[in-house]
Amino acid sequence: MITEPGRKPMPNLWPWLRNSRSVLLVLRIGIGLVFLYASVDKVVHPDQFAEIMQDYEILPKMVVNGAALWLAWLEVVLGICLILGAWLRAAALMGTGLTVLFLGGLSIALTRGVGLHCGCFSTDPGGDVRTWISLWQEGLLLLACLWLTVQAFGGFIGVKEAAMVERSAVRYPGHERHRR
Amino acid sequence: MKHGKAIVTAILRELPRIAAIALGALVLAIAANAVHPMRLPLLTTKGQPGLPGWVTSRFRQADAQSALRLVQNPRVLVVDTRDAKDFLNGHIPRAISLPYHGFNEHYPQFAESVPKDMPLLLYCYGTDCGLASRVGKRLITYGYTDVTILRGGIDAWKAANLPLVTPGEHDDN
Repeated sequence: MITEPGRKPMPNLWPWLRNSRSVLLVLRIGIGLVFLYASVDKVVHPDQFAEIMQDYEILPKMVVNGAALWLAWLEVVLGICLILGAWLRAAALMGTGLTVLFLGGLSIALTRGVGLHCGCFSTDPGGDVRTWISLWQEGLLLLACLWLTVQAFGGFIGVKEAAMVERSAVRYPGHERHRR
Repeated sequence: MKHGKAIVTAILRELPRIAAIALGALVLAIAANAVHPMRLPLLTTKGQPGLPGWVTSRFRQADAQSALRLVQNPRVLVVDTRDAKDFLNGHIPRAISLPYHGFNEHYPQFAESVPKDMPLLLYCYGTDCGLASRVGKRLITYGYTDVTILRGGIDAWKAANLPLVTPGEHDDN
């Protein structure tokens, strides 16, 4: 690393970032709160969320009510799992999947030229109509979910190594400390 | 290749927990829906999604000819639930605009001037248009008692060659 004389080199944060427990904690609580916040209006007004889902014109009309009810409560359960750190890998995977689903649904609707309200955080039909530019919010959430998922599956040290550590911890409880 | 296999194995091991989360959410959704005042049918066999059964049962339906009689009745308020620009491009005589997109914004003024027992005739674009029933649901929830939906919307009205107020034309009523 080339530095000017007398100046300290910039610290390389990447090794800390990729495996830091603090980053994992902030990410899972942050994303968990986002999911919980997003679920509130949907749980209180499931009928209005079903209307918005119908406007996406993706699902058959017959299953829209059931899907709207389920998605609202899925966000609640995922939010709680993430905040508590329970079943973190499964919750992180599902959070990523759910965000991909929302992003995909919005993109399909925008491609078709359907002007719709996202229904992401509010079920008010008078909300702002979504545009391609406004998808940055879901994009940011997807990036955070992906990061969380990778870290939950063993950080960036590699899934195989993480799986080995986990297997040894399961077979020989307490031995992982000695191995390190 | 081995790395990819390890990722797939790690994900597969999470499948039981993923299924448990999905199932838990489903059970909570069904339980919460059962006690919610706007309880929805889980499968929509008739009508539009987002309509509780008790709301649907309170709607009256009118075809274009029956709607014409309601329009000619001065006691009935005709409500256009389409977007405001479409209302301005042409609407049923005596109609006022209460667009679904913007309902929360326009409703306070509507509630001030329209008594709860006034008969209302609601319409939107066409057969598959659910805006009239969505607005109707909100009005019934807020206490309006006599809500009729024009079946087939303004398309059915036009198909029956019934009069329209077009831009520049004065709505005498």
